[in-house]
Amino acid sequence: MILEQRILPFSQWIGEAVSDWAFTIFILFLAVIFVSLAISAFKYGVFGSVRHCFFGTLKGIENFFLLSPRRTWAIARLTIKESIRRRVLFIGLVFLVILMFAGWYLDPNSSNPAKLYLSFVLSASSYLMLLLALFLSSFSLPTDFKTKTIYTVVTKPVRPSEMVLGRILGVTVVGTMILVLMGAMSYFFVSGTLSHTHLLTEQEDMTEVPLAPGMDPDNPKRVVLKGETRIANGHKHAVEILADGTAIVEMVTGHTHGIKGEKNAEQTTRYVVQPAVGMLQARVPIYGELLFRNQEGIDAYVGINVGYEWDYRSFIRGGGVGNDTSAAAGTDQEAAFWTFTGIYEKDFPDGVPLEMTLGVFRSTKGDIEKPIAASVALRNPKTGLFADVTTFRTEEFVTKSVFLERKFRPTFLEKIQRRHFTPQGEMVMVPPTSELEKDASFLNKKEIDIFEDIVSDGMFEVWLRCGDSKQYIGAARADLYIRASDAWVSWNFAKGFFGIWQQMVLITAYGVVLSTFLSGPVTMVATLGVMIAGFFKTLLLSIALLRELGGGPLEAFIRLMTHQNLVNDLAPGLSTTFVQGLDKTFGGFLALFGQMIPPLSEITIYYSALSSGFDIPTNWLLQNGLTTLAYLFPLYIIGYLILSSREVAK
Amino acid sequence: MTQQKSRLRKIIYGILILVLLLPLFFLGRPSAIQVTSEGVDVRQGGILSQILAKEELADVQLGEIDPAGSAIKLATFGMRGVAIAILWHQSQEFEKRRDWDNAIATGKQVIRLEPHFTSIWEFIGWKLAYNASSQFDDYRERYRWVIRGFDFIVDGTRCNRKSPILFHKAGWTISQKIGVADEKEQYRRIFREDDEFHQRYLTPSIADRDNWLFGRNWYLLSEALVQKGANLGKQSQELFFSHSRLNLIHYAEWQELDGNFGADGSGAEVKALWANAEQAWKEFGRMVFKTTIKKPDGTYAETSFLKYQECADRIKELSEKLGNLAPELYDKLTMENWDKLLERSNGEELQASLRDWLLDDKNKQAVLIRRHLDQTRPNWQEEFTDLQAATLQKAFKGSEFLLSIPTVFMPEPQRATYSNLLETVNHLKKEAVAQMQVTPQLLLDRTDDKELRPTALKLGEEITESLFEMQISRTIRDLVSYPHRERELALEQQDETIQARRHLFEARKAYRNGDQKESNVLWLKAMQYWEDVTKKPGFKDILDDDIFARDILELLNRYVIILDAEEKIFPEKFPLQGALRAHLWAQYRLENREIPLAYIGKSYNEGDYVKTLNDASVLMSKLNDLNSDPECMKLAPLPEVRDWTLRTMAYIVNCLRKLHQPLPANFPGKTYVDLMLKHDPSQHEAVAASTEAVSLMGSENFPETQAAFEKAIEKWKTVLDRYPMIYLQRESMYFGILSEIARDYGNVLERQGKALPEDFALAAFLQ
Repeated sequence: MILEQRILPFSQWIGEAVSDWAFTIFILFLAVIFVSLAISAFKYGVFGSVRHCFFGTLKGIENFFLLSPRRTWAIARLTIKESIRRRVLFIGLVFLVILMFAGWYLDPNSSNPAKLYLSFVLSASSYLMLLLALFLSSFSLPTDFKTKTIYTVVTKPVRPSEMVLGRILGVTVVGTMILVLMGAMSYFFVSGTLSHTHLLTEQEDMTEVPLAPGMDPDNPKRVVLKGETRIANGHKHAVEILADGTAIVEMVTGHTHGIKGEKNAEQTTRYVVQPAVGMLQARVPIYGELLFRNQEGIDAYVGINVGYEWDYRSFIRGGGVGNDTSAAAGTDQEAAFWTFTGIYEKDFPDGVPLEMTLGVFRSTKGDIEKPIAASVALRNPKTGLFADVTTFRTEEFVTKSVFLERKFRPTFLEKIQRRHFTPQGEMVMVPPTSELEKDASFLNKKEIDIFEDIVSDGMFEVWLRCGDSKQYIGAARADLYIRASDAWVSWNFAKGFFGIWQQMVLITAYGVVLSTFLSGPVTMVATLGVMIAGFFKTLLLSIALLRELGGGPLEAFIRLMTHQNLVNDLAPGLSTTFVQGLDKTFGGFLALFGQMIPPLSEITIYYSALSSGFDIPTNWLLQNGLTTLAYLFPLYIIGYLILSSREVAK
Repeated sequence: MTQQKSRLRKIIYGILILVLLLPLFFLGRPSAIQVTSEGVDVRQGGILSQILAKEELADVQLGEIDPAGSAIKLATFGMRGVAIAILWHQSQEFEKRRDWDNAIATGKQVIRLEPHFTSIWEFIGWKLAYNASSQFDDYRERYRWVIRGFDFIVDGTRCNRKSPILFHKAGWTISQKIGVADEKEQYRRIFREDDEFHQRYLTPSIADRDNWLFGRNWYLLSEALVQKGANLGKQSQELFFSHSRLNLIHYAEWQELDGNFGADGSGAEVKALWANAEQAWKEFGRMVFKTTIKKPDGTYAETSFLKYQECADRIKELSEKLGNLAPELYDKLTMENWDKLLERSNGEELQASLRDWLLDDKNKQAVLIRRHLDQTRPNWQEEFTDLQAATLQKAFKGSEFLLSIPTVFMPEPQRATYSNLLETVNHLKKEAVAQMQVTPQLLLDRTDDKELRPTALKLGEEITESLFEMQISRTIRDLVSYPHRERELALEQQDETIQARRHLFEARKAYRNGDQKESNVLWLKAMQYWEDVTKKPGFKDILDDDIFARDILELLNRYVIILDAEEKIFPEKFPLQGALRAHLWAQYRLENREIPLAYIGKSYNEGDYVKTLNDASVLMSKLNDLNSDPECMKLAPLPEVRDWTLRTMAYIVNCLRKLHQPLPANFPGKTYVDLMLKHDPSQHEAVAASTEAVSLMGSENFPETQAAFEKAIEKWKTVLDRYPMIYLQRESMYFGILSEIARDYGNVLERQGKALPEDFALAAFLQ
C-alpha cells in the first residue's frame, strides 16, 4: 500500500487535535457573540443587545442540555418517512443495475483484479451515497417551509436544536440503511466475481519429472509431476506435485489455490483445484522507521533520487559484488533499514513474517533475463550484530514474503556500526567502537536466534541491500512491514464502507445546516460546492498557504500570461511585491475558510487500504470518526442559531 | 380507490421496466474475448452486437450506442471537453505515481468520451507499449505491456474500422517494438510461445508466429483501406507503404539471426526469403505515388521509385536515336564542339577534365573523339592526368608530401584547398560535358532536311521530359532509401553473404557454448566469406553500411582477440582490411599527425625534453583514444596511425630516459604499444635469432657464435629503435632477454679474449 503521508499514532494525534479544535471553537464562539452583539445593537441598543445576547446564550445552553431524545427521534422519524415516501430506496435498485452492467466493463484479466473491483464498488457507492445525502438533506427543511408543514411542527413543543439534529439524524438513518444494502451487494459482487477455479488434469496438463541423478527416489519432497493449470480469469498457475502428494501452486495476481488429489475408479488421480485463496486480504502490518545508509556509511533520511518525478521511494545503489550479496558484501554498502519496535517473542514464537514491495531502477541494461538481486539482513540495534538472512531476486510491483525463521544459519555475520552526525557536527557511532571490539565470540556462532541475538528490548532492524552494482533498489517506509496477522475480510469491508458513511454524515450535516436559511435548489448547489471542495481540500489549502510551486493564484496567473516557468523567482520589484502581498492576504482568508470545508479526501485512504488488501487500522477510524464529530458539533450549533433566528421557528 | 389504482399501475410499470431491462442485458451484451478454463473463447456477445459485427457496423460498438460511454457523455452535461481534460490530467497523475492500472483505466474513460478520436487510441496504445512497458524491470512483464498496447490499438480499430493509421500503428507496435527493442531476442521468443495471444488472434501456424510476419498482416490491412480510398492524413504515402515490404526484409534478416539455414546449411530457404523480399521491393518500386510537384500543365506529377532508372535508360536511348538521325552531321557537330572547347580561355583544362568521359566505350561521341585524339595526341591519356596533377602540385607547392597521404589526414586548410580544387575539376567536367552535347536544336540549325525536323523536335521534347521525371523520382527515392535497400537485397542473396552469416551465427553459438577453438575457426571462415563478398563487383564498400559494419566489426574485433590469444604476428594485410580502412576514414575525423610530430621532433632535437614530453603526452592521449575504439584498431588497419603512435611513444620514452624518470605503469597508450610489440614481426625475428645464437653457445665455435649474436643484436636494435620503452621496463620479459643476450655476448667475446665494443648497443641492459 502506498502511504504518502504519515498517520500519527492516536495518542500523539489526540492532544494536538483537541487543543486545535477547542481553540477553533473558542474563536468561533467569540465570532458568533460579536456578530450577534453587533446585529442586536442596532435593534435594542448597546445595553439591550448585551442583555439579549446573554439570554440568548442561556437559551442556547438550555436548548442543548434539555434536548429531548424523544422529540428529536420524532423529527428523525418524520424525515425517514418523508424519504421513504420519496422512494429513495430505489437508489438500491439503481446500484444493483450498475453492478449488473459493471461486469461488462471491468476486466477480470487485469493484473490486479481485486484492486480494480474494490475501487469500482467503493467509488460507485460513495458517489451514489453522497448524491443521495445531498438531495435528502438539501430538500428536507425547505420542503417543510414550502408546504407549510413547518407551522404544524413549530406549534408542537419542539426546540429548533431538536429540529436540526432530528433532520440530520433522519437522513443519516435512511442513508445508513441504503449503505448497508449497498455494502452487502458490493461484497457479494466482488467476492463472487473474483472467486474462480482452474481445470487441471493429470493426462493433459501435467508431465512427469524424471529422477535426477543422485536423487533419492523415496524423498517425500521430490517433485514428481510438473505442469500448469488451464487459464481462468486471464491467468494460470504453475503446479508442482511432490512425492508425498502435496501440491505447490504458484502465486499469481496475489492469490493461489489448494489442490486436492482424488483417486477415481481406474486408480488414476484426478486433481481438483480449490477456490482462490488470498484474492481478498486484510493484512495487519507493523511498520518500522525507515532510514538509509548512504555511500559514506552514514545514516540519512533519504536515499538516492534516481530521477523519478514522484519521490515516494528513495533508492539505494547496489554494491560492487556482482550478483552475490551474501558474503563479504562489505559493511559499508548502501542500505535501507527499518527499525521495528514492540516485537516480542510471545507474539512471534516461530519467527517474524516480513512482506515487501520494492522499486527497481536499472542504470544499465545488465542481464535482461536476470532480475536484480537483493538481500535481507537483520541487525541488533544495541550490539550491532548483523546477520544476512537471505538473498533473492527482486520482482517489481509484487508483494514478496520472507519468513524470518526464529533460528537460522546466517550466510554472513559481522558487527556493524551505525554512524550519524550530531547537530554540532560530531560523528557518533552506535555501538561505540570500544564496545564493538570487546567481544568477537559471536563470529563462531553457527546459528542465530532472532529473539536472543537480534531483538533487544523489542527492537530490531531489517536491512535491505541491492546486490548488483550499477543497479538500484527503491523503498519507502510502508514498503516493508511485519505482517502481524490477518483481519477478517468482511469486517474490513465494513470498515471501508464506514468511510463512505462518514462522508455521507458530513454532507448531510452541511446540507441540513445550509437548508436552514437557503431554499432547496440553492442549498443543493451550495452543498455540492462544499462536497467538491471537500475532495480537493488538501490542494485548496496548499494553494492558500502558498505551498504550491509557482506561488499563489495571482502570481501563477502572471506566470501563465508572461510565459514564465514555475521555478525561477519573479523579477523583484514593486509589482511583484504587490502581487505576492495580495496572494498572501487572500491566501490567509482562503486558508481560514478552507478549514470549514469537510476533509472528505482524507477518508479515501480507507479505500486505498481496502483495495490494496490491508486492514484499516482502528487508529484511522478513531481519528476520522472524531474529526467527523468535530465538524458535526459546530455545524449543529450554527444550524440551531440560524434556525432559531428565523421568525417561523420561534 | 384511485390511489390504489395508481399504485398498482406504478408497480406494474416498475415490473415491466425490469422485465424489459433483462432482455436488453442479454441482447446488448458487447462481444468480448474471454479466456476460460477451457482455453480461449470469443464470447459472441448479445444478438445486437452479433448483427453489428456481421453488418460491419461495429464501429459503434464502443461509440455511439455504447451505454457506458453515452451515459458518461450525458452525465457531463455537455462539459465533455472539461471532463476529458480532468480525466487526462488524472491519468497523468497516476502515471507519475507509476500506478499503471489506474492510469489505463482513466485513459479508457477518455476513450469512452471520444471513441472516434484516433489520436487518443494511438497515443495511449503507444504509452502502454513503449512508456509503461519500459518502467518494469521484468522483461516478461514488459512484454505483457507491449501486448496490452497492441490490444488497445486493436480495440481502437474496432471502433474506427476505416482508419488506416490505427491499423498501421497496430502493425508497427508488433513489428518494431518486439523486433527492435533491446529485449528483442526475449520478446520474439515469448511472442512465439504466447499461445493465448495467438489463439486470440487466430494465427494460422507456428511459422506465422513471427512478429515481422504478424505485423505485416496489419500493415496490409491498413494498405487495403488506403487503396479503397481512406485518407492517410499527413503521413507520407511512400513511408506508409514501405513498412510491409521492410517487414519481409527484417523477417529474412531474423531468420538468419535465429540460425535457420536449413538442415544442410545451404541457406536455400533464407535465400528464397530474400528473393521474395526483393520481389516485393521491386513491386513497391513500381507503385505510383502522387507528389506535390506541379507539372507544366498544372497537374501534380506522379512517379515511382523505378522511374529513375527507366528515365536514365530512356535518355540514353533517345540520345542514340538522335545520333542516328543524321550520323554524319552528328559526328561533325561533335568534333566542332570539341574544337570549340579549346577556344575558350581554359580550354585545355576543360578538355583534360573529360578524361573519364572519353574512356566510355558506349558513348558514341567519346569513341569518336578518342579516335581523333589517338591520332593527333598519342600521349593524351597521360597528358590529361598530368594536367590535373599539375594543378594540384601547383596548389600544394612546398608541401607536396601531403598529396601522398589520404585527404582525411591533411591539415584543415590544405584539405579545404584540395576539396575546392576537386570541386573545380568536377565543375569543369560538368561544363565540358554540357558543351559537348549535340542538342536537337543544334542539329536542326545546321540542316535543311525538312523531314528531319519533326522527329528531332520530338526527340528533344522527350529528352527534356525524361530529365524532369528523373528529377521527381529522385526526390522520393531517398525517402525510403530505395537504392540502398535494393543493393542490400542483392547483396543478401549472394551465397557468400549467406554463408558468412551462417558461420557468424555458428561462431557465436560455439563461443556461447564455450567451444573456443571451434568458434575461432568459424570466425575466421566467416571473415573469409565477407572478404569474398567485398571482392564481388558493386559490394566493395559494404562497411559503409551500418547493417554490415556491425557484423564485420564484430568479426574483426574477434580476430584481434584470437590473434592475441594465439600470440601470432599481426599481419600487415588481413581480410576485410580495405573495407575497414574505408569505414574508418568515413567514421572518424582523422587528423594528420605528421606536422605535430615534426614539431615535437624539433623541440627534442633542441634538447627541450620537458616540453617535448608534455607535447608528446598530449598527442599520445589523442592517439590512444583513436586506437582503443573499435578493438580492431589494434590490427593497425591504418599503418600511419600505428606509426605515429610508436614514434610519439619513442619521443616520450627517450625524454624520460634523458630526464631519468621511470615510465608510469598506466601511461596512456602503453597497453597499445605493448600489444604492438608483442605482435610485431621484427620482435618475433629477433627472438628467433637470439634463440639460435644461444643454442650455439655450447658449440665452442666462438667466431660463429659471435656472428650469430651480432646478428641477433642487430635485429634487437631495430626493435629497440621502434620500441625504446623496453629500456624503461625493467620487469618486462624483453628486458630480461636482452640482459641475458648482452651477458652471453660479453662471455663469448671474453672467451676469445676480446672486450665489449664501446658503442655496444645493449650496454644499457648490462647494469
